[in-house]
Amino acid sequence: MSKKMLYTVFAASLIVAMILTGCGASGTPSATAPAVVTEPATAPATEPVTIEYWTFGEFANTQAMKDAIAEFQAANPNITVDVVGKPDTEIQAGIIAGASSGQIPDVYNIALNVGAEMLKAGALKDISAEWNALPEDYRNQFAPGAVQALNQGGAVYGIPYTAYATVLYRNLTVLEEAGIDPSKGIKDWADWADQMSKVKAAGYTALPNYSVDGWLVFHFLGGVQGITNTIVDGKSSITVAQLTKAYQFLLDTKPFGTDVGPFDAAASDLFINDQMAFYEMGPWADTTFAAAAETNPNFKYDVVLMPGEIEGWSGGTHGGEFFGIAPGPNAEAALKLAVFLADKAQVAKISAEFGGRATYNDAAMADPSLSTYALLALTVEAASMGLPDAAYFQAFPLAVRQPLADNAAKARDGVLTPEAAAQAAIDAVNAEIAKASQ
Amino acid sequence: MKFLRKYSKNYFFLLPFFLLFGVFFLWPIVFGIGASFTKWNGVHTPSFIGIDNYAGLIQSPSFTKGMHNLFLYILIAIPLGVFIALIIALLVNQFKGFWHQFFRAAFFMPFVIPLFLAAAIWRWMLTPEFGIVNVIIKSLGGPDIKWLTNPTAMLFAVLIVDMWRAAGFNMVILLAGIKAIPSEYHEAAKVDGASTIQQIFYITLPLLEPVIFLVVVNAFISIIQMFDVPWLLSRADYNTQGGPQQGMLFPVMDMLGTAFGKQRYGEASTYAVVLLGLALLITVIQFAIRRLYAKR
Amino acid sequence: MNILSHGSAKRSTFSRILRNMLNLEVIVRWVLAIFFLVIAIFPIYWLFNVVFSPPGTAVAITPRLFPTSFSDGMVKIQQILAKGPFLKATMTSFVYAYFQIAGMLLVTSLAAYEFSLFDFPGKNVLFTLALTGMMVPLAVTIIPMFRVVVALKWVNTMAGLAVPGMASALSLFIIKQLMEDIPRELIEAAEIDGASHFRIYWNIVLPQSINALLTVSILTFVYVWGSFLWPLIVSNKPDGYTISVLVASLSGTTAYTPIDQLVAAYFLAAIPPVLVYIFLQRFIVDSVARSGIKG
Repeated sequence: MSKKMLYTVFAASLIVAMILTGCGASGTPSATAPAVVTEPATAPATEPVTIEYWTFGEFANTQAMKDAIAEFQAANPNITVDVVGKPDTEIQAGIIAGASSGQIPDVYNIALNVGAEMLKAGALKDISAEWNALPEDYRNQFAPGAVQALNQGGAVYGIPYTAYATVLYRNLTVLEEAGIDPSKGIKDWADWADQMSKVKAAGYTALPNYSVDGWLVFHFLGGVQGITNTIVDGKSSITVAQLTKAYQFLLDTKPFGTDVGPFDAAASDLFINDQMAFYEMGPWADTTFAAAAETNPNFKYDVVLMPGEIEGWSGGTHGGEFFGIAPGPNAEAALKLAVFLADKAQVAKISAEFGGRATYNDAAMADPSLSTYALLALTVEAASMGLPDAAYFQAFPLAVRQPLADNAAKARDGVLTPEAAAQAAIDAVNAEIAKASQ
Repeated sequence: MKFLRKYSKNYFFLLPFFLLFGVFFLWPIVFGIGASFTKWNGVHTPSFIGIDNYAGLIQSPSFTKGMHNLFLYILIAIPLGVFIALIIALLVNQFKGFWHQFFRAAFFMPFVIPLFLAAAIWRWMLTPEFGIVNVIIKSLGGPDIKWLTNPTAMLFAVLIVDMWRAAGFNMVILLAGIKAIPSEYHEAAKVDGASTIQQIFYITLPLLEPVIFLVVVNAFISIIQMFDVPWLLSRADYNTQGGPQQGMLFPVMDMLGTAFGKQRYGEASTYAVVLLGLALLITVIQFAIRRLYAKR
Repeated sequence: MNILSHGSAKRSTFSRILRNMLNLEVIVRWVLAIFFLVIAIFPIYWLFNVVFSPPGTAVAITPRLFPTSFSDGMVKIQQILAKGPFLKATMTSFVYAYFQIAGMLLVTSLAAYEFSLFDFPGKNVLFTLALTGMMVPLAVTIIPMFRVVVALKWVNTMAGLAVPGMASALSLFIIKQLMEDIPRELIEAAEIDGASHFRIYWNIVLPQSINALLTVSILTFVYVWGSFLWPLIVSNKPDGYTISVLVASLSGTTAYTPIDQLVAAYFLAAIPPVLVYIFLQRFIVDSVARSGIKG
């Protein structure tokens, strides 16, 4: 091709491309009207409407979800549902980025601990009128704590959905090699530290490094006796003494564990390959371990409550997700979908597909089809203790996780004493809370 | 009118570029500068608060940490980076023909690997105790370096990934500079009995100085903008950036966390203005120094 | 040449090689080169090994010096292909790169043409203004840029992805530098012949600047392929994901992607740029070199 022809082809393709992009050639054209912050009159119920529903990637891919959407669309022929599956961090990022320009989904699943952020971003509609109009036994199927969290001074900001609580996974092979009898369980932190030292002495590693992230610090904070909430009257209710205990435990057990954080691939590698004894995490980790146990019959593990500071008190953190409705003309249709999906029949089906994923729907959890899932029962028990992962819908920004983790690392590395680190952390946390509530 | 007729064709050709530039670059900068004087959460109308944001920024420990990391990184990365690129360039230059082409292409390859990939792979390789890098170090008798949890080591981890990518690119530019030096100089030196090392120090390097200067300026600017590598390497998200003790925190990361995590766009814009000013300042200083130096 | 001299020719070549091998300089040169070569290539090689080994083998904790199972690797690749729209995302990334490069070449070469070969009022001011574009990281302007894109209704469209990056200050700088080398006599001769402003650009200047155009195309390609922040915000539906965003979404902590498949995903994401590089490497490295020293 001569140079001239090359350039002409090039220029022509550019022009064609520009025309095509004007028609929105890539990706599915968004047929939803962008949700706006002010509320115009809702569209009449029989006009065809398409709503956009953002949920977690793994949920969107389940048969249960696909069946549910099909069922819903059949019952509501004028509503088309566009399901978008994304990782939860990207749901949050996408809504925040889009909020300033009205580009948010009509209904979405998101964690309770970012509820306040969603509210600030103008992405949550107050559905109290519609909620109170729902039949009483529908409203009663949810855990009261979750309903309360979503009820802020009379305004209702969503419908409860899934829940989680962190638990402790134990590699039975490693424990036996270290001379520990798994059936005895773990009484308290002192016992746990003792077991960890035995594991180390046997040449294995005990636990990953939990100072790498603030959320992980919460797991250990939850184990401190008597701690039940995170914020009271606009200030952190976590005392320096409590945080010091958590930091001290992390420091004391440092020699027995590894520096690898639990989120790293290396940590689950170690656990699956019989190199590490304990791994504390939410129930989603079980999917990986169960799959590994299937391919490798020599890999044996079990799940127990994370031990707390004293006997009878368990640690860990818990939280959950809910359905949020965006304000706008599609809100009515969006709410219909949320009410349908949050109902016990649908919730039980999805939970089963995940091997017993915990939810805030007590009626669904009582469903006999879920009684065989041991992990589910354990998760529910763990959720009654430990620390909630945030103060829902109050100014407890997730940014507080940064100083909690930084100071945990400083305590662990010996840069500060656990007490000094705890003091610095609490001060920073309170500063963040103050700034966020301005 | 005659003036316009004479130059209208010039301005016309400049128009597409500056139109796009204005809409997608200048306007955002102006907007950002304006926003830096407000308190704004991105959704509701901003409220003007004067220079409070700037005062708050200077007192913010994350800002201090980020700037501290940045300056430390600049101090280490620029000399080391240029040094290594130079060594590799001189090295490749010693080869001829096929091997020359081969090594040149091989060393440039890391540059085309997408950053997010490089960060993920290196993170796996830098796992403490068990990762391949530490396995090799320990087998040579060294300590187990906590690449991802010790703040000092974390900066070096960023350095490793950054240099792994950039060395090849800089090398190619330096190599071209080396080849541009007329071979008569080297031949004359060889006749006079100079060794390879002496030739490098007395001929190659001095004549390479303008190219080295450019590599350095470019390095400064890209380091101030440093974002992708530390962000991915420290598994940052909008709520936590920089890893344990914020060892990998760089200013741009903190800025994003403030904007999208804490939803304080006014403060985030302040960061932007500060970084922009810093970049301008450094570039101006560098060119001024060079001009002074050249005059001597 | 008779038999005797042929023999001596062979002997002297042999002894030359032998002498080279014992020459300290040569040894040092090769040792250093191999050392750096290993560092440069090893991470990709390592990734390759991790993909092509049995599933369930630890990723981070066992050193991977050799691939061990070709078929297992293929299985992993198949699994991950089913998990996400890889082909689509790769296509999206290619198309995104194409449009941004095409638009960038057009827009910046026109402007560079003016800056390098002509004088007009405000030339220096405008050029300095454009240079500031090189000093600002994307993250600084990203939020207002997004608002502009929304106002133009370009969210989730290729236009929204590719157009904002077209006015690249760096490309402008590089192309201008190289265009300045074009002999003025050529331009003047064409002007005397009555060629239009555009003609001169199209028929004379552009062909002479092919090195610069190639260089900036390559730099843009590498940048676009790895760019992550902008596509994440603009193209937020999985249908329109670029490969960088897709891979990032698969590697989140709650993304449930088994590590084996995740590694396969990384591998797939690495293939296109590496392939492109291997085929075009001669051009790529040459043009970067030639443009570099002019800068």
